[in-house]
Amino acid sequence: MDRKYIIEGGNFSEAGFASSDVKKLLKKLGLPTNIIKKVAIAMYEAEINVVAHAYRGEMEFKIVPGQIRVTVQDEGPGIPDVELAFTEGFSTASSKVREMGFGAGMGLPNIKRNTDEISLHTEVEKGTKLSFIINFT
Amino acid sequence: MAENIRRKNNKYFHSVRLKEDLCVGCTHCLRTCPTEAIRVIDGKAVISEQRCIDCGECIRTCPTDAKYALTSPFKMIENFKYRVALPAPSFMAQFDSDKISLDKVYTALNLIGFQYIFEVAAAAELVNFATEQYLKKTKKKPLISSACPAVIRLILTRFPEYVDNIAMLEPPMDIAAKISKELVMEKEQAKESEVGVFFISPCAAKVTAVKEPAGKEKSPVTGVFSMTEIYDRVMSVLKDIKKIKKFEHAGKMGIIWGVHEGELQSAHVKKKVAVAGIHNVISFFENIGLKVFNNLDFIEAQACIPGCVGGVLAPTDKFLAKIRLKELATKLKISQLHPEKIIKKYNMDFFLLEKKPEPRNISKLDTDLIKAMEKSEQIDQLTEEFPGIDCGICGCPTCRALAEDIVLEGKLSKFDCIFILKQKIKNIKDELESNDNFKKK
Ligand SMILES: Nc1ncnc2c1ncn2[C@@H]1O[C@H](COP(=O)(O)OP(=O)(O)OP(=O)(O)O)[C@@H](O)[C@H]1O
Ligand code: SF4
Ligand SMILES: [Mg+2]
Repeated sequence: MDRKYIIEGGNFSEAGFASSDVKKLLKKLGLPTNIIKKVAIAMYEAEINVVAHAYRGEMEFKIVPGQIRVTVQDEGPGIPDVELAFTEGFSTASSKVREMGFGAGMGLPNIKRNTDEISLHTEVEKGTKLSFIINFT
Repeated sequence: MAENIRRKNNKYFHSVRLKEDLCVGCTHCLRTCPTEAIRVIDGKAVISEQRCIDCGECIRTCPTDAKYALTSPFKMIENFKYRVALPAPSFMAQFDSDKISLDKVYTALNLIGFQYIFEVAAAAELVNFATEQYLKKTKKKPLISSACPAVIRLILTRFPEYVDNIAMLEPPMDIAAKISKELVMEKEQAKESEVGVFFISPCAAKVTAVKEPAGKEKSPVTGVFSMTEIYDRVMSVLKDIKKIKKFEHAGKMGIIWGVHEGELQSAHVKKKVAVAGIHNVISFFENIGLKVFNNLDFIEAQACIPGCVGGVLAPTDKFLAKIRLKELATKLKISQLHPEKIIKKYNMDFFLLEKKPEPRNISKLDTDLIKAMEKSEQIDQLTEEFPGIDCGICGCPTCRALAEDIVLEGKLSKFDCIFILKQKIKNIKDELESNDNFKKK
């Protein structure tokens, strides 16, 4: 089963739609609460990153028995130093984004903590593709 | 006892009920029910056991008074030698204090049969202290107040992911019941079975909270009376009062629990929010971003607007009652009961729930994931076929709810949708006509 969402850069008021929609679906599918929480956190952070740092993006969600796979592909500035981006507290968020309560540099580390597999491909000035997997029994 | 009778074939007790003979099947309640618990079946608005949270919204909207709250029969007090009335804070706002003082109201309570009156507002003052301690210790934030049983049941049925955020604290009603029973037993040298403690309730949800408590085995409250009924009884004996007795009253911080943002005032944390109205509570939980949610320290959530004064069993206009309660709170600023001294008699355990309330996952489509996925897809497809205008004629609150009922329960078919049926009839008619034309030629 899959779902697809379009994410618009800069549109903070709509951000979070994909993760709450998936959360509703997973509740109906009867997944354990702790798994739903992990998925919701990881998807939310990934969504916000597109909104805060990129121009536009697409999020694909897929559930198969035992596994949830999410891919977020965006057009944007890309990430010059991936290792640095995954460091807790590192952020290039603009002051405008910080005023909105984001930019603590915890998003990517949080995604990593809540997922079982993660991969990030990025090209500076082109965009970023983030994929992650969450396993469940 | 009649009130122990559960609704038909059911797992859960509910105080909100239907008088079938009064129900005209009009669909008003169908639309307003926040948990989509109602279906019109054979012309009657039947409530689902699993989904109902006893918030009372259907009682509020029913134009024929077919929905009602089952409360304890008043004559129940006769079974007890010593009777304690536990007026909810909202009760204190039902009377115009310029004409009928609180002491006069309580004297009337004496007259109708309660030897003792213990204000739930006084217990709320103690819960304020307990919450303060709890907030210091708990790692789980934000804390969601445990005071409104309709909200607790909403979380248990629709938002199991927030169950861990519910404060494991006894609501003021329960604390009032425990303390007052203890006091009377001591004072009268009475046995527990001789003391009845009765809550004067603004709502149906509190009846359910007593009959089937979440977070403990048995409620310390003996019975729950409708605030409207007690109001009427009080009014009818006022003329017989010869001398108004003097009572000690709780102070502002307890009384104010009866209105929206009241409890919030005593939660001394930085990030707090109060939400009122069951539909507002739902959209709050559904739409709040995770980051914002996790940043909060305390959430007061009440099913009624503007707080308990807006409960369905409270007779006075809710906004008038709100103003009255606020005025009363300003007048009775300092508690006459010295909560800071009483609290020392009890340890923290006294204020804690026995066990974690258990979620009831009702949104689950199937226990098997593959089947659940299939069902979810079937529901989506069916929903697409329906017109999406949520007319209610099929007996379901929304087109999606009909699709869900068809797939999950199998009792209805898509031809229960009048639009699909009309289309089908038209198709048959067209087919017959074209056959006719064919023959004529
Ligand atoms: N999709 C993206 N496109 C471009 N840069 C990104 C993207 N996602 C993350 N980054 C870069 O990586 C940094 C760290 O990201 P991370 O999500 O950990 O923190 P943040 O978004 O800055 O703050 P927070 O997530 O705590 O609100 C960002 O500041 C940004 O420079
Ligand atoms: S807000 Fe108060 S009156 Fe309304 S349901 Fe909750 S506890 Fe009852
Ligand atoms: Mg981020």
